Amino acid sequence: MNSPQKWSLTPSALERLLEALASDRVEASREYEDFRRRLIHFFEWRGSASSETDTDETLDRIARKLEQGEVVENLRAYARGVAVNVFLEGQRRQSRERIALHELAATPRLVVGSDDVDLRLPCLRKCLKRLSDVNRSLLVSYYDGEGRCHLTERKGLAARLGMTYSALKARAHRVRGLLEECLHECLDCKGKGDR
Amino acid sequence: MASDTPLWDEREEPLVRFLLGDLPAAERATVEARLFEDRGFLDEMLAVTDDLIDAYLAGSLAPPDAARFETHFLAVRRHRERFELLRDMIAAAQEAGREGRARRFVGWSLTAAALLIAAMTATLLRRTSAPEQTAGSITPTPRSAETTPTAPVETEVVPLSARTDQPVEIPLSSETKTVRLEVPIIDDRHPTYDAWVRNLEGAAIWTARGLVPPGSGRALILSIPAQVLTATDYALVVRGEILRDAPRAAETERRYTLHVARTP
Repeated sequence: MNSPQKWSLTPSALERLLEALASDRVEASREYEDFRRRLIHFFEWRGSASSETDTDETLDRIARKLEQGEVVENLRAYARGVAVNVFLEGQRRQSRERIALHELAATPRLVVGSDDVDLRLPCLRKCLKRLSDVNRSLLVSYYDGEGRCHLTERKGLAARLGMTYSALKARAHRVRGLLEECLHECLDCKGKGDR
Repeated sequence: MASDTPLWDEREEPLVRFLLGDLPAAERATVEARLFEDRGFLDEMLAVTDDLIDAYLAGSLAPPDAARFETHFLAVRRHRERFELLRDMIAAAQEAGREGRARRFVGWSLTAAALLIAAMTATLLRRTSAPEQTAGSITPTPRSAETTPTAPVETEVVPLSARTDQPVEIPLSSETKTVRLEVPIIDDRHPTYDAWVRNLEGAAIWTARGLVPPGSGRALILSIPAQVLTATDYALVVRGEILRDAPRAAETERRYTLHVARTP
């Protein structure tokens, strides 16, 4: 009862899941990735230590049900229900592995390798220079200022740029996304070049 | 810490509370449902996540929220990864901002100097051609240095000595925003310095690259956001850049132990 028989995802079950996500194959693959990404966040926000494993387990269970002929009217709502169950089961299993909160606060662990950390700042400097003048200037101004005054400064910046504070934040988020894309490329290149 | 300006608008507030694990169950379920049903929601949430990290690093969060951030938000591996990344991103952007200001200041100084020379030349020419006008001669105003008033409030200044065998005590109150370490420079031969702070597990929690020493006999200033430090020991490494053809300096690196203690 505690250990249900292990079921592996079959090609036909995956096919059913993709069909349920979208009729077009390309669109279904895109939807699958998007769906998977959301599930990972769902588990992370709930504090799962194994968000990707939990996500795969959720997708496997949904695919199996679809293959068995279960009719699912609202796939996303259904997935959320399955995800909640997977999380609760996982939580029971992992409860003893939970780390004490104070310990976490005292020793935030770096998951990226130290090489990446060492390379990241030079890459970020390079990538900042690659941004368009407008985007670079926006990001630099966005992070100018310290403490609480940076909030007032940002509101001033938004006013100067003729946009709302929310729009400025959304814009900064997009520029961070561009910077991050460039950073990944840069780290990949450095990694390939060095190793 | 009190301020009239709320950090979050009414749309962001529940999302921030969700990320800090401070939302009632029913509202939490609503947020989770939006993740699956609202296409634009994930991006919105990720933007709020970044803003929350930013607010923490800037020391803008109220103490209970900062505590929740450390204990709840950072308990998620990807949040810690994002925290590390954003911290470096902000450091790089701030560094670019400082460089931009320095370039503008140099440009402004050159322009001011050129204007000053032109004015002095004109005065000199007038004096030569019309000596009776000396009573009304122009007295050039001394160029005022760009004074940036520094408020030591909320900044813990810790001068370090060249000795590294004793731990450096750093008392932090809840009001401390920045720890300013003043490190005696190792050798005049190093054009720049790199510095980083590692936690007990050896992970870098703060780094600074290419710091230009302020001048012979003056200390290198390291400004570390207090929020990245908790009450424990850290290792601070300060390393001077070695030029390829320069003679070897006797000492290129110093390692300090920082003992951080939170005070009420």
